[in-house]
Amino acid sequence: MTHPHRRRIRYPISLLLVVAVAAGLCLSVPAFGQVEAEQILAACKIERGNCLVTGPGRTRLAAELHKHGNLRLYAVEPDDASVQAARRHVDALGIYGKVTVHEGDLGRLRFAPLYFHMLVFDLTARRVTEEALVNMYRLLRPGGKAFLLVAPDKAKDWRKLMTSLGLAQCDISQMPDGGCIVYSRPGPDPTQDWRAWFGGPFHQCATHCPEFKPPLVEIWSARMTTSARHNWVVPIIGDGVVVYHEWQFGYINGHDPYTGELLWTHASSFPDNAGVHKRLWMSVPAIAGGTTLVATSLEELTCIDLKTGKTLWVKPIPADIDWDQVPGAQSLRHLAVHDGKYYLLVNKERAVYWDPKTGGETSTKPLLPYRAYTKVDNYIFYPENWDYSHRPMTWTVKAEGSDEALYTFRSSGRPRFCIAEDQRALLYMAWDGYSALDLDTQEHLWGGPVMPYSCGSATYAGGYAFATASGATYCMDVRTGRIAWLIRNSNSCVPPSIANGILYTMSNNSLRLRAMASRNLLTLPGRRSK
Amino acid sequence: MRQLRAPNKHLLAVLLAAAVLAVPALAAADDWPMFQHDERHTGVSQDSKISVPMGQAWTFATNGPIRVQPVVKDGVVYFGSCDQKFYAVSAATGELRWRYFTDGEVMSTAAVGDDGAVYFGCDDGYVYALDAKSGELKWKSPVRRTPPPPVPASRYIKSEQPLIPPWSADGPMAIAGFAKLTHQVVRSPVLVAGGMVFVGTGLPGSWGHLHGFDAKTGRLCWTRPSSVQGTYRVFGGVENGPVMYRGTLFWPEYLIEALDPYSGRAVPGWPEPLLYRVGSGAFSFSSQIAVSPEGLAVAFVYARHYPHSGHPAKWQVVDLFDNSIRFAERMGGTRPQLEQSPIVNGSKIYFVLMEAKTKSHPALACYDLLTGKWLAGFDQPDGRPFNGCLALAGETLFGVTQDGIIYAFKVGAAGGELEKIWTHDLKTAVFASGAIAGGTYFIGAEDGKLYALLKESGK
Repeated sequence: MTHPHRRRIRYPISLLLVVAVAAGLCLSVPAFGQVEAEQILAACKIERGNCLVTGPGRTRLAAELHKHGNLRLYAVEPDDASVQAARRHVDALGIYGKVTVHEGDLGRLRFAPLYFHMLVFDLTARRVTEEALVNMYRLLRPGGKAFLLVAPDKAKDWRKLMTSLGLAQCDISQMPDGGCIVYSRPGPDPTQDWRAWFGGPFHQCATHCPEFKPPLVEIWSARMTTSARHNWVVPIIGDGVVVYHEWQFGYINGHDPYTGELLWTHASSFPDNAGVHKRLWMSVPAIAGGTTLVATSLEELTCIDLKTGKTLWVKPIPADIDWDQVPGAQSLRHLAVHDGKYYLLVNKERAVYWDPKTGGETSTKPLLPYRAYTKVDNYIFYPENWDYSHRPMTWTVKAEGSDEALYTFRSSGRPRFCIAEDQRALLYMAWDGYSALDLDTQEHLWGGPVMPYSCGSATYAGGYAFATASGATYCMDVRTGRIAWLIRNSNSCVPPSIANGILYTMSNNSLRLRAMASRNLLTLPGRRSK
Repeated sequence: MRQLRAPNKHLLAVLLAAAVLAVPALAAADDWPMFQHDERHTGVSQDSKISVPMGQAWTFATNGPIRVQPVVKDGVVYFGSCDQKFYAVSAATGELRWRYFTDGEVMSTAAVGDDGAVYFGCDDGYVYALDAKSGELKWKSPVRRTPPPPVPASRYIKSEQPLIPPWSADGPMAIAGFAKLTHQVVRSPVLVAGGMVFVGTGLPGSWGHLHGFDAKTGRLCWTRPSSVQGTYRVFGGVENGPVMYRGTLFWPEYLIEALDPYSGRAVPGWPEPLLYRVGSGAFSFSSQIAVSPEGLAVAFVYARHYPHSGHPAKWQVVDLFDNSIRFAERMGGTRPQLEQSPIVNGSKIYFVLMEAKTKSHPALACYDLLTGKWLAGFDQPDGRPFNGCLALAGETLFGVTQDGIIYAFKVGAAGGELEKIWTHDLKTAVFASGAIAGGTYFIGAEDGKLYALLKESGK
């Protein structure tokens, strides 16, 4: 016989059992997006940086990506109602700001070019068209990864389209709810870095970047952390970091080259003997081997880790170096990089080399026994009457290994020129602006135009020379002198630096470092203008 | 007592008309309702409760750096954060009242109007008006993007694309953000006066603009580009907002412009300035201005056209009645601190200096407004610069360094001496300015927190 109360008790127990089982299932079943997030992060292997996630309802995936990685997430939802709901969800998780939600779609992605380390595009409901790939390439920085969720039956079509557009570095794999393609954008080319003032070891003021052509697109600007004088604040780019020194305040800053994000600030206290002007950093920094080296007013060289901004080693400047404040002269007594090492030309008999990692010092003969020389091919350029004044200078050009002068030319005071090796042209400052010579024939190619208050050398890349003058940075065709482009830029007396398809220049306006990318860098390889 | 010069008749007429229209926005004693406290940006609070030493009363955490000056009205603190939200929190407890989502970092200092609305600009290119009590959107208006002026030489070949892109990552720490294709960023402090809302906009390398909105509807009433052609406008456009004095809008630009607030047109009869020069070079105002009750504006100028000239920066006192320079004094370097606004209190002015070279050019200085005489200074021993704006209440002057150390000075009534009386280390970087209200000092920091410092009990 059944106890009269047993039936009453049985139901609540059953209910409890059901609830318990359900709760257990809920706990064991991964939250929506968690599995995908783990798979995406495993496939992309991007641990830090900015990540964009697009697709209806994909904000939850963005939140999961944030939870499992150290990424700054931007989620894009298609309409205002979805945006508001997604924002409430993320805010309730307490992570809004680290994950933000915006309205848009693949045709309306209002983000800065090259801003993202990682993209997650939901293309499952889209036709196989170029539009998504155009945006993908514009937003993805070199070295970044794009994770494209596609319908399984269209994966091969996407792959074919991508290959035809020059995006061959992609893999197809399977996700639980469809296919996916992981595209890896090739990273920056170390040979296109700008590792020291005036460029490479021979101070050519040139970078080998044939695809660097105007027009340029500003991708970011960064205000300096202090109000240091902008004079001789020179951006140096190498090993994935943009470095500049705020020399009057003892700061060196490292920025991300694609987003402008401040990675670190190296601060030093003012030394008591820094002099009345308190110039702490006495040289423009140079970059080699994952470090940056700078000379201080304490007659020391300080080497800083490019990843952390921490001091690696400090060495005294050799006693026989007649050190001066930041030299305005090209190729004389400023830190340069050759063969992976820092070096300093003491005089025409001696150069000192430092190992970037250890500070180990070696002293050797200079590359060539000429003071303030520049070299291209087997031509050597050096000044006959070097001094610190602004008097006109006479330059001698010799073939390497020969004592015979090929020709001479005169420039205005201070040697400032750049060499367009592939265009066989040499630009130098003359009294009416810039002038150009043919490297091989000595022919005077062009002179002018007059640019008031032009200062510093020009910088060469991709057939064009960029020169800073009053109120603007001019872009000139090196063979004709034609001004092809003008960048409004309250000038500083520093030529721009060009590395990996991006021009960096310091603007006097609010003391901003500006980064401008060649449009080719943002254009699909298969669609670039030649 | 200072004697005012007789203003010309045009200016007098405008001032009289404007005085009728404009209701003087006198903040309650405990409020700090806009950038640098009031329409004249004096930076002086009437708060009588402020006292040091202070302790941390509360903090409010956001998910992004705070780079604005908080504003306070009726016991509520309003501020934006780089986490793309705008907040209202209780000034007494730090409890969240409401938050509002935007599409960009908020780096524009808000203003609370007498109409119960709080106004702020945003990096998403919009100016927002929210109900101060509920946080509901009243209106949001885009800032019109004006194309750059034509290149003044026909030989230059223009691109098929704009020279200046529509977006730029920016900020003291250069955090890139949300890009807007059609709008400019809005980072100047907002000024609310006479039923109008004023903001400055701009981008590096482009021209700055000043905009006037109807505070009630959000309708853009006028836009005024920079006054002088060139490339010098950005700074004024982005960071500088105007001040209001006796119903006239004064915009510190290449020149100080006097504008009718309702049309944005220049006030007729406003004299051409003759003496703003620094040495023989070009010049520009470098920051905010602050105006005394008598109409004396304190402004900073420095040579920007000839970077090698070495012309020192100067601070100048400009008489807003006839636009004449009363005097100009050299500062301790070629460039003043850019993101500061001077304090004007009675006959004294206080400001911070950069490039402090010697002890005679200290990091913080006090001068006599009427004579230009140096009264007192404070030399920062470790050379770290003061950041943001000073704030004054009673005899206590507050400043904060980039490293996050808050200083309090006692300012003497007679000699104007600066006596350091208290410091507090926030242990985080600061790229913002503080505000004083209700006996509390509020300041945001790079760690994303808003700090409220209050007199320590029992002391």
